[in-house]
Amino acid sequence: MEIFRQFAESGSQNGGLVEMLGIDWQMLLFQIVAFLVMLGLLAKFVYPWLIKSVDDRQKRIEDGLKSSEKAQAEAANAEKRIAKLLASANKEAGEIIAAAKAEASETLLATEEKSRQLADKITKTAREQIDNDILIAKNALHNEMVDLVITATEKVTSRIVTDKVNNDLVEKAVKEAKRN
Amino acid sequence: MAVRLSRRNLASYYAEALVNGTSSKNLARELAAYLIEAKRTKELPLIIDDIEHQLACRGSLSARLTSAHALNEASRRSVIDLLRHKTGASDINIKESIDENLLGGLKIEFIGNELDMTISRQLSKLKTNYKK
Amino acid sequence: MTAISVEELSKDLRDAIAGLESTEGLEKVGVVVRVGDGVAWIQGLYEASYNEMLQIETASGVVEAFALNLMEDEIGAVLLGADQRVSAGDKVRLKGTILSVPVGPELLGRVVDPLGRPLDGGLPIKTKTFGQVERNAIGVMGRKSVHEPLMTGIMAIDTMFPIGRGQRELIIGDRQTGKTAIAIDTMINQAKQKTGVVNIYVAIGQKSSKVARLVERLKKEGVMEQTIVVATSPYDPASLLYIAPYAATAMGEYFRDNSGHALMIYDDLTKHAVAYRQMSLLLRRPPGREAYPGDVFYLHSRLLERSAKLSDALGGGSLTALPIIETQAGDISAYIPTNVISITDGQIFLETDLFYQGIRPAISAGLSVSRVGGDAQTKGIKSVSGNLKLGLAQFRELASFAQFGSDLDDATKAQINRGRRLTELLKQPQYQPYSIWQQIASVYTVTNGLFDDVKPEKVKQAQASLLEKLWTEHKADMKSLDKGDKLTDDQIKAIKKVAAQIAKGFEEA
Repeated sequence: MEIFRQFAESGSQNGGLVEMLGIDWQMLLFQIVAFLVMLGLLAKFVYPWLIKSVDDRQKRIEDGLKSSEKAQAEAANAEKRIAKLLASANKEAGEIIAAAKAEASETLLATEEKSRQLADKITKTAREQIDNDILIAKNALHNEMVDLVITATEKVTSRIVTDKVNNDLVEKAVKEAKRN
Repeated sequence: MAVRLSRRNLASYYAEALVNGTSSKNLARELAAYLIEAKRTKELPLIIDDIEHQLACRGSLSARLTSAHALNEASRRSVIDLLRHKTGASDINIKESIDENLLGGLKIEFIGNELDMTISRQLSKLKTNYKK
Repeated sequence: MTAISVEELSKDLRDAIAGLESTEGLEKVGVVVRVGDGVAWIQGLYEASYNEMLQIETASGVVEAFALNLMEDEIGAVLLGADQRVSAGDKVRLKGTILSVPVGPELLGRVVDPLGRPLDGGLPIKTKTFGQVERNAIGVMGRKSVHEPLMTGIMAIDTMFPIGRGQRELIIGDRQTGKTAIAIDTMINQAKQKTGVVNIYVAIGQKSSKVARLVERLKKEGVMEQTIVVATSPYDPASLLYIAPYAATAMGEYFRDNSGHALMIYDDLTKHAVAYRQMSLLLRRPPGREAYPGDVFYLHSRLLERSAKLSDALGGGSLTALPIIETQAGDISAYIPTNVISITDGQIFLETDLFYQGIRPAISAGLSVSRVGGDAQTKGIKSVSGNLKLGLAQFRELASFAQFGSDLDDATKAQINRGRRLTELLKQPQYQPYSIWQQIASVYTVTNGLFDDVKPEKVKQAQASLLEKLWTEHKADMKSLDKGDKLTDDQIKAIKKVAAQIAKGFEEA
């Protein structure tokens, strides 16, 4: 208030107020020009750089935010994909295991059947071998009997066949030969 | 080069000549000469067999009878009858021999044929056919 | 189990004595004039017929022979036993029959000699019927055209040179080229595919060790139950080697004439011709070219003509023949090979070069042929084999350029690459015949370029994986493909899908 009162009082004394304030018009003008030059220099060289760096920073910050959002989204997608792959792999694994189990049980059955057949075959071969051995023994016995019968017959016949018997045999044989 | 005469042809010629009344002495001389000339004297037994066969084809049969015991007249006649029946031969000569190993019965042999009615043959058939 | 019974033995003997006839009547008798080298010269027996059986009474028993030379003065008879037992002067009788052998299903699973006597130490063989060793072939009107396939299980043969039931297909090649291996694989395949075809393997003058190994292998693969092995070794008389294939054919004819199917393998006819040459020279028959007798062509032609496909009126049975001929230094223009080539309905030619390059079976696609062709092929295989043959033919033409590598145009390179893969595909290990679906799937995969990215040396592995995966994942489709019909869309889809998966794993770097 005091300053306004003093400003108002000074108004009446024009020349004296400026001198009272100590304002030097030349200096003021010089300072204003200097200020404007400095402003100009700042505007040309400092402000753009400052604003640019602020903008760049701002941009980096924004980019960073965007990337992190993107990364988050991709991570979420990747998780989804992995989950899907895992699910299908599990399904496939399950199917393979099921098929393998089925195959294994089929193979087991086939192997059992094969073993059963082999066992039967071995038994059959053994039986045949025994039959063969018995048959060989039977044949040997048969042949021995035939030999003995023939030897005995030869011995007995040479004693009992006389001239008369011989001639009778000849007559009989000739009759039969005529019929054949 | 002289063509080699087959034994069949030689025997056929010889038998035909014999049946037609050619002297057997002359024929024998002729045959001997040929065999010596052709260096075929080793074939003589075979040629004789072939001549026998050719003669049998022409009705003149030579047979060998073998038995374990001597045959009586009746048996001999029935054998000749049998041979006439079987071969159709009109002229039959038989030669008898004894072989005790035949045990009994009779064996008749003439060229290319055999009629074995002996006990030993039956026993040997039993051996070969029924042995396993 | 049979038991020894004294009553049974004495009854047998009583029956034998009661059945003895006192005389059989007049018997024709001859005498051995000279004997040697398996031939007995006999005088007498003027009524003997050609091939009639004779019985020579020796000191150690009866030796059988058959009359082969009926000459003016004597008969040349070939002995069927050791000639050491026969002496000059031995009596000879006519048996009254022509040479016959036992035939019938009782022979299955057995190893026998040409007269039907067992060689495997088993029970004596008693059959109900006997078949004539020498028999006329069926006439024209009794035959039907070959239309049923005989699957060998060997991909190269079934796709490119298919064999039908009733066909005669010659297997020809130098020694140690895999001729017998092809025959064995064919026999194994009949058992594996349960075709019901009876195998009859005739070993003519083969080493006993080789026959023993073969029998072991057949037993191991479970084939022996439907196989008859007629074996002769080099130390058997030439007469047995001579009659072996005829006797075996008589055994095969039993099945053919009873509406069955049989496969004859003659291993090998070269030795058969040599044995016949030996016999003919000893019988003083005039020698011809290479000292073979003049009727050596007839020797094989009358044998192979008995293999036929019968008409429906005669039962529809068949007898297929796979004769084997051994050549010397790959010379298929020699006497015996050319004879048999002109008789048979095609040949499979095995080359030594291919064998040593690792291509086994060493089948020469250029020189082999099947004159029956597609008539004896299943529809499925026929549909895929056309491309296979074409691919291989093109590869053969370009084979000499294959060494130039990068100097060729793309089309040529593609053909060469395809040809290499096809060649790899046709290689096959022994004793592993392929079934119909396996052949169709494999050939379809390679001919349609599904394995073009697989390295040639990995093609067999890829094929194995393909077949395993197809069987695991598409069993129903493959089972229906095994029936031999053309590929359906579903089957093609399945093959393509699996092939793509397999190919990815075997991709060339």
